[in-house]
Amino acid sequence: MSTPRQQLLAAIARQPAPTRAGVSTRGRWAVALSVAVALALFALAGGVQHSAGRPLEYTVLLSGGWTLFAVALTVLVLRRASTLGRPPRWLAALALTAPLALLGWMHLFDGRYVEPFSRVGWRCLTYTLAMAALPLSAFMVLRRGLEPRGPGQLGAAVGAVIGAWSGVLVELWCPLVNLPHALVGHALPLAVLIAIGALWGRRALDVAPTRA
Amino acid sequence: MAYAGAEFPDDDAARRRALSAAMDRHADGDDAAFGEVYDLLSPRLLAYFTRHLRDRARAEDLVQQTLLNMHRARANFCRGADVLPWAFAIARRLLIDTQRRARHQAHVEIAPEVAADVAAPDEVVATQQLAERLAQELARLSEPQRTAWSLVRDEGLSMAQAAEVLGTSIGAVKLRAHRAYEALRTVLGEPGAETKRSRSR
Repeated sequence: MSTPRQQLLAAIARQPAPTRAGVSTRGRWAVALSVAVALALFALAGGVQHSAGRPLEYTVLLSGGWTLFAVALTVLVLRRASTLGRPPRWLAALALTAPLALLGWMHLFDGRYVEPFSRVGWRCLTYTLAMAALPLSAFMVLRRGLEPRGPGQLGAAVGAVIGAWSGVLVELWCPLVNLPHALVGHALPLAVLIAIGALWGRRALDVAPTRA
Repeated sequence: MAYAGAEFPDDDAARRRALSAAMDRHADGDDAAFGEVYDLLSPRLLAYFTRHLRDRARAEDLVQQTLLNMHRARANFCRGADVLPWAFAIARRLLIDTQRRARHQAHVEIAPEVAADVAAPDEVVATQQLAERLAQELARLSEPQRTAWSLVRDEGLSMAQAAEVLGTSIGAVKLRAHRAYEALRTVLGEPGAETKRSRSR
């Protein structure tokens, strides 16, 4: 009769797990593919030309601000000093402040120029969600079953990160900053991604998801 | 009372370094290194699960599940990092899931050597009564206090390690453990009454 040690070593031999190098390669492919899909959607939608009605300096400032925020959020959420990563409460706080921070940033430019047209923001919302679909799915698959402390909080924070990066491209494309439009077209998709990330993360990322 | 935030003994520090090195090699693809991880970690995990579950077989099963989860997540292990907080975070998650399903009660074991040292029947009864009172007081604690106490006092984790397992600050763990200690002090401080931790190494 085999010992527990022998049983465990036999089990890991039967179930090989990705190594660091393997996951790093998969992650890079996922990021590259996500960026390619997002850029393709951006180009199909009309690219930067679509925001030609806004003064160029405001386009640079707005998307530059989104970019800086996305970089900061990425570092705060994904960069780890330990295997367990950031505390779940930190991740939840970062996720919840992201839409507010970005909305506040856009609102600073409200009224500074004449907007070329009026839209509710459904296309901005759709493009943000479409660009975020692949990277969010890839994260949930690659990190499946790995989070023992706050899977929902991690999922929410990653949703915010991915939404912020998608928002960089949408901000380059969209020339509108009025508050109603910013709420529907730019803050709402972020909130949706955070909510999806939280719910999906609770099931997909949890080490031991409780089954009904 | 000295919390386990003090310096680890040399052999514990050496074990932690060896465990981290073995996990690093395993994360890079050396499957045989996981045998070392098993040897260094499984006794502590078994002690942890045994303390919280009535069923040794179930405890052994959870040890296997914890280690399997660590294997599956090996790519996630940060190079050179402390393995214990990660292992105990996974273990705690699996324990919570198991308890949620089975609704097992936590219990305090009396170390066999305590009973063996006690000569008179009334001392055995007194020890058992103390253990029961301790268990009752532990059950009255809030869950965060009980968990902090358990990780620091029973599992021997440092404050920093326990904070990492729980995803909170070191200060919060200190406060919770201190409050738990204050609540239990009356029971622990009774003259002639000692409850030892059950250790299986």
